[in-house]
Amino acid sequence: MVLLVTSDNEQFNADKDVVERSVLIKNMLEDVGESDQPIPLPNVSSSVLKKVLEYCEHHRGEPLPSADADQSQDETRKRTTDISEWDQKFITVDQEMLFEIILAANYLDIKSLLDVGCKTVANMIKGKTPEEIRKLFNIVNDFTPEEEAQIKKENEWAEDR
Amino acid sequence: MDTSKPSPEFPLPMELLREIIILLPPADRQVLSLTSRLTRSQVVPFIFGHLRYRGKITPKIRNIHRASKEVKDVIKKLELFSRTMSLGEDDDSTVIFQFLESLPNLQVLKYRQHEHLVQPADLSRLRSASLLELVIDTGNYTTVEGLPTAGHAGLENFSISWFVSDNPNEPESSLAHLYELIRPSLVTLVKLRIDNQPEKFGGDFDLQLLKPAGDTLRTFEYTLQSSNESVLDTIPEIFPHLTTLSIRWDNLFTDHSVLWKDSHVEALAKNNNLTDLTLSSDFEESADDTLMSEGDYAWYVRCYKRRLKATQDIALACPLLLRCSWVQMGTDTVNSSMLHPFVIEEQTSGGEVTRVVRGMKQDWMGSDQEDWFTGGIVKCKLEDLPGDIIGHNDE
Repeated sequence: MVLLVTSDNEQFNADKDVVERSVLIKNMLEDVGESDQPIPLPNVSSSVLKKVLEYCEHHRGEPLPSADADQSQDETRKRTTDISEWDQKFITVDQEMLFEIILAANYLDIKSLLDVGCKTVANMIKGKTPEEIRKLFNIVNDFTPEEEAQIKKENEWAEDR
Repeated sequence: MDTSKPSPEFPLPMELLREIIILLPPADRQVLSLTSRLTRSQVVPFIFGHLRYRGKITPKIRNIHRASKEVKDVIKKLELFSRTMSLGEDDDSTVIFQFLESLPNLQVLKYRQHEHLVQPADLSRLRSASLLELVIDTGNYTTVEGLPTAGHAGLENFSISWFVSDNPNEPESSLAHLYELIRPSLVTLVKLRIDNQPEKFGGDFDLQLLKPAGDTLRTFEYTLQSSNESVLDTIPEIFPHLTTLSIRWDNLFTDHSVLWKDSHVEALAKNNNLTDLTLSSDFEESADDTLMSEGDYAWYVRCYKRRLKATQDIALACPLLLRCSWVQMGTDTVNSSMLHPFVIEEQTSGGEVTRVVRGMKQDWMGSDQEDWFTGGIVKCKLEDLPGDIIGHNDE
């Protein structure tokens, strides 16, 4: 078992093969060797780590992406934003938690979870208008109307038509 | 994370926003680029990083040339495929090259067209310091003018289809211009493709001039208009590190390729690192075996067998060879080409490793065909042909 300590000082015990889905934790465990030393995770809160561990537990035993496979997997990722049923249900959380999970996945280096998070955000953006996207993510429009018109033209020029 | 406060910023770090942008289709990327300045700055490289224009390209280039510096700075790859040039668009070249000159970070330019448009002097205007790959087709057909102009320096991959003939008053001027375009990049080239096919034969390119590329060049693809087989000896001398070699002899006068000789195997064996080979050698002329009719399947089988045998000989002489293909010209009445691809595999039997040549399925293989001459059957199922062919019979 591995002891993890979150930013709000909560402690979590988890199986080694579960937490080793995180490349960061795997490397830390290799660095400390055989030891009961707790692993501090100062960038992850307890509520988020709970979700992350739920994800890692569910995907326990699945093959981890190898460094060699990264490129071909990136190509596949580009072609699809499909998410498995379980992952979809898992990631159905409020937006704040979604972003926290993405940040945690990035920090902990859990590529498959990061993919699920990014695909979810991409799916939220798809088919929306600029105004709808701004509203969704609380983005302020800092373009002047003239700039906006110019950008629309430039975007059209990128297309071969 | 506090996302409740409105901000021009996207509520995730920029590197994660880029991961999300990768997943978006082009139309959604464009919409996202309209949300805020910061978001646009991240999306712009994905929208404009690789541009492709086809058909009548001049009006499209005129438009994109009006884009902001922010846009031009991120254009790294540009593919232009002009199929037509209408009357009154004589300034195409000027517009296009003015635009190209305004792209400071262009790394790859592929410019193909069918009308005479690109002059060597135009090519010398490409000055983007970051350009690494240039694929250019000079178009059908023109003659050189003026003095040779230097091409781009620092290219790693240069592919040129050269349809430019000699200036009538200056013999060999076409080849002089071609060489000058290649010369500045000789010490950096990793891949070079020369398709030398001007309307009027002006002699063969002197490959010895390319010797400075010997240290770096790994891929050489060459099309020449003569039956000059000495290139088989010259190439391993000047390019000793080649892994990929392709030679196509398009003889204008005889209308067939160089005739295959067993001695060619010795020349090819000098390419010590060769893994991929493509040749257009002719086997049928010396066998006095000419195509009698469209769909002469018995002839196809004979052509295949000759190339299988030659590939087996080459595979023994070139120990690293993995793929060998033969371009066969004149395989129908409109002078189409046929490709005979083979792979070389290592097979272990009784502890001994042997190199085995296997054919790859071609269009005409996979089912029995009717012999046009006798009305009988030409056996073209894979199991009936030699070479343990990779593929499946037609269903």
